[in-house]
Amino acid sequence: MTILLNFVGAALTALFLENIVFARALGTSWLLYMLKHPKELVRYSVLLTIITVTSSLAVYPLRDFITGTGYAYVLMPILFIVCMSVMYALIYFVTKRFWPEVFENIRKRLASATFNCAILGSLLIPYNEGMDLARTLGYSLGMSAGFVFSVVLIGAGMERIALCRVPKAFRGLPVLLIYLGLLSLAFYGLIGHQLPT
Amino acid sequence: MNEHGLILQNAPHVRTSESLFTVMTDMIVAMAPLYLIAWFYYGPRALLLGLTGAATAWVLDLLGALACGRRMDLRDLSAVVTGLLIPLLMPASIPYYVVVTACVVAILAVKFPFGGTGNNLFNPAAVGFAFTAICWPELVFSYPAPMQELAVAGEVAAKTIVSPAHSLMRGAIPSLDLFDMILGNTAGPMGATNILVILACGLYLLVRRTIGWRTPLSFLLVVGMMAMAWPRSPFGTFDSVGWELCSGMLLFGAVFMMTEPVTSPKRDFAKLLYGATSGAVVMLFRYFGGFEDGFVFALILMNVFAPLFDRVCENILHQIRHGTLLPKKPAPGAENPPKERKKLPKPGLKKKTETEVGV
Amino acid sequence: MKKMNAAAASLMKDSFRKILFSNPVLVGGMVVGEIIIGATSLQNAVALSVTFAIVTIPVLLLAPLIAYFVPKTWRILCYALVSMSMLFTAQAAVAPISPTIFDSLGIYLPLLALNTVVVAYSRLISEEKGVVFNLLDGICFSLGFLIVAVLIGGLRELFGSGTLWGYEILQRKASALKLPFSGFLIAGFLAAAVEGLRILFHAKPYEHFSGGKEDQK
Repeated sequence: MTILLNFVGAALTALFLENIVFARALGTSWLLYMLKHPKELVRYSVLLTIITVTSSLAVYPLRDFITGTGYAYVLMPILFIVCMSVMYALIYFVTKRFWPEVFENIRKRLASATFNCAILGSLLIPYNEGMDLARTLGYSLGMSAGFVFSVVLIGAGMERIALCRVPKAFRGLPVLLIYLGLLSLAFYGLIGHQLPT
Repeated sequence: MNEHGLILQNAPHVRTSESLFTVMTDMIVAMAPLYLIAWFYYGPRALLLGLTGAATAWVLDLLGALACGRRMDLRDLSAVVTGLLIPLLMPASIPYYVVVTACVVAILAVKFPFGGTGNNLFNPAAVGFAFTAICWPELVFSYPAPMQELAVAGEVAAKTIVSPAHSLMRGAIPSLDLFDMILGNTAGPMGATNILVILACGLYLLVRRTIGWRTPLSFLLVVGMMAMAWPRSPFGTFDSVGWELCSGMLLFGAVFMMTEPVTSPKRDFAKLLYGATSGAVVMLFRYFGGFEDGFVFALILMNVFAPLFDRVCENILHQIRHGTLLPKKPAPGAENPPKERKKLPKPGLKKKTETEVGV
Repeated sequence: MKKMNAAAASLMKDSFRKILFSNPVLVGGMVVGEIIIGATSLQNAVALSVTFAIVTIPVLLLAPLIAYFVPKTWRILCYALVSMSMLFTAQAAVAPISPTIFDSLGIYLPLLALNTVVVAYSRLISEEKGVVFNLLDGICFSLGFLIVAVLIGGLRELFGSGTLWGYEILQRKASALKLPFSGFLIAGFLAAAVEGLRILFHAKPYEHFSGGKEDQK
């Protein structure tokens, strides 16, 4: 029961309180891409979720081993990147062999969905905060959901901004960044303190 | 008048006496009694803070319009209203630089990048106040005792007392009785303590139709219900409702900030839903948040979701009126059925009679 | 000889554009996240820029070579491998800046190993160009990143903590400037300033960042 509560609690924290875009500013480049191609959102987020969850599961047993050496600060990301490469290869071959239609769908986006700041972040943050398995999985799921949530919110915001008389110098990226900042302020009210980096 | 007795004019043909100028002057007139009461309680510093805020905001708005290459509209008082709102949310002993910072953030970050008046996506006063509340919480939330004349210039070392909102946050009972709180003889934001005057100003704005009644009413109803169901202080549900409604900037925000026409929903039913949800969110911030009054953060969060209420309301109304949630799209083949053309009489030479007038 | 001079001149002009008017952060929208949360002080900003340069330039330089030998699907693994291995060098280079630099940067320093320039830009553009172009690309992007990071980090440290490179300067500080939302706001205003300058000087942005702005003069 506590495991389930931990899982759900970690997922909700990652989704609302420590939202990956508003509180941790990860994955902003892919956010900008998703805003231009909204139809790929579902596909991309499902890929993100699968890769995050499987990588967390795969790395979890090795974490203690790495912490034992003195170079954990740099070795940990390297281990995660190696893990992501393995996941990339695995998903590539498995879908190519067994589900060719799915493979055709995801082929173009697989590389950018795997080697992503957001995924690396969602692997590093639970490690830094020492979360156990249930909370790590919940956190990873929450992060992918948080990414989708932020894309939806910002997409709705961009529709409203399209109706405003934005000054010429602010059109495009600047007003998007400012809107992101104000949304981030709105969500800061939920946490009320600075998150540890 | 032409020869048929008709007046010829260009559009628009339906005019009303209401304009942006009148709406803004209504708001300024409604805030004037609050400044006078603050002058009565805290001395002329209150008025000077208001003037500083208004001047900063107005000048920045004009500079912003200039920078965008737009014509400077000197009669656009919406920035002045923002500049007057911000000091009313702060204690009277606040240093001037805090008010200036809040106004700078409000105008430059919320109004200017999105295009000025009518284009702000968030309430500027709320964002400005939230910024300073995060930077200097010890300055923004320490309220001086009323009925002391504060020094006009420079930093003020005033006797501060614990505000009712702070007592409620700690789970204690506010040390004043409800009558004092209604009259404003308590510590709190400069313009938000005198409940009677706020209610009177709200009534004035309602009568002048500057604000609607739906958002504040549903907001206060939900806040009252939640205060009754889950009181923060150990005794009395009626007292708890009174304390919650009279402490902090709740009533002030309901009258002046939640009803801002640009950021709140447009449909009537959506306004009711918006007010109710905001009430719930504000109470949740009060129960679980870190600040003693998280009203502004709740308001900023609700501004993000305001268009959602309009959209949901449209779907609900469509369901009620037409039985389907969304308008049905016509079937692909039936979009443009070939129209049958009526047979028109052939244009031929008609004999002109004497009574027909040539055009 | 004249042709080479003209080509060199246009290359130089392109490169200068890449620092300012086609800034990778403010116009391209890449690597925005690490700056916004990481660059809260001047030391952090310098550390981030040094890491970015050390991690990205080798990848860009090796991109044509990797593209020659490795089939398309597996190139990304090679780029990730290269940037990964440069992380050790980056850590060694950054450590002298301050003893607490790794604590204050947290996860945002290693995250630069997978930044968008390494993952997307290299695959789209660097593979087809020559070594000189890629070297200039790398240097210009790093310089652009350094300028933006130093501006944002310096502003936030000066007005947010009252210090500059750890030395106390101001008494009054607005501590909300160190939070992520201020980073977004300041980055947005800097991006608008760059765009304003670009419109003023009638410069055209780099094609891959323009997003439809080539026709705006």
